Amino acid sequence: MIDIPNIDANDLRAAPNYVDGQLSLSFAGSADSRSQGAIETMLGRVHTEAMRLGVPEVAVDFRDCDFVNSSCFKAFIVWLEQIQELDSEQQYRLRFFSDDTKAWQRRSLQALSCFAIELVHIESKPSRGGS
Amino acid sequence: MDSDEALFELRFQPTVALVSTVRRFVTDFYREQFHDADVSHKLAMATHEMLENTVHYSIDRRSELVISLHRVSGQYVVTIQTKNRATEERLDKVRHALEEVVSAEDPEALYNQLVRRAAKRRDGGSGLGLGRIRAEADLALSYAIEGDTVVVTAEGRFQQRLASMLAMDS
Repeated sequence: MIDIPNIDANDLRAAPNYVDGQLSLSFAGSADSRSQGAIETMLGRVHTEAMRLGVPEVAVDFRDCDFVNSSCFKAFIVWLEQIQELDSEQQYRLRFFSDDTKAWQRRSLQALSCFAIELVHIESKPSRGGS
Repeated sequence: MDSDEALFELRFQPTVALVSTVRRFVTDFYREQFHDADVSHKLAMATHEMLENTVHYSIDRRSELVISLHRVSGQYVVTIQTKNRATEERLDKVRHALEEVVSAEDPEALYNQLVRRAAKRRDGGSGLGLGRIRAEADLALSYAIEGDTVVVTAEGRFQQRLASMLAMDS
């Protein structure tokens, strides 16, 4: 069991998943300032659960995202900083999945990678729709 | 207006929800002009970030948005301009933020610096929007402040995809 809220409001849907020891998040739709608080709350809970479960990695699937504004990106930067502040044995990595047909996703995620290169891995995958 | 130009003007009282509505509209507008999803996203992202700034900084909740496209030497020059009034205190902050981004010689290095700074900010803002426009949207920024009115302009050149490339995609 994991205690992480879903998001389903203001054009954004986000859902956590914990299967076979793998903790993951999927985002879909558009994230603007209306969703900033919900994302901050969700990522804070993910951080707590990731430490409780002792997972080595959290997967974040952005492939169904159409837009993320800078305020919402900041929530991911703050999350990364929280991980950086942990002792090295408590730290976990973030693996971001981007849609290889949406160049903006890799471009935007690259800034997170530059911020915490040792913690962030970006993987391009085909879109879920197969287009 | 000749066939190589397009102009979009909007005067409204934006909310964050309305900014997203405008972003979706201009995404289609840019896509119609460029037939290129990535260029459309870059320009729509810039439009969104600029309009959100006007939501946060405008003293009378009014904003103006002007988007123009002009064909120059086989490329489109795209200009995105926002205009709003702000308090003196806000104008000082806006001037400082804009000056830093406008004068940066390396937009990516500045954006990485802004990301590091954003990690420490606890005032609810990110301070990333303008830097992101330069680093991710390939747009130059300029600004003018007259009285209590700030005008922010983003401008860049983009190639329209050729009909032959579109045919290959289909």
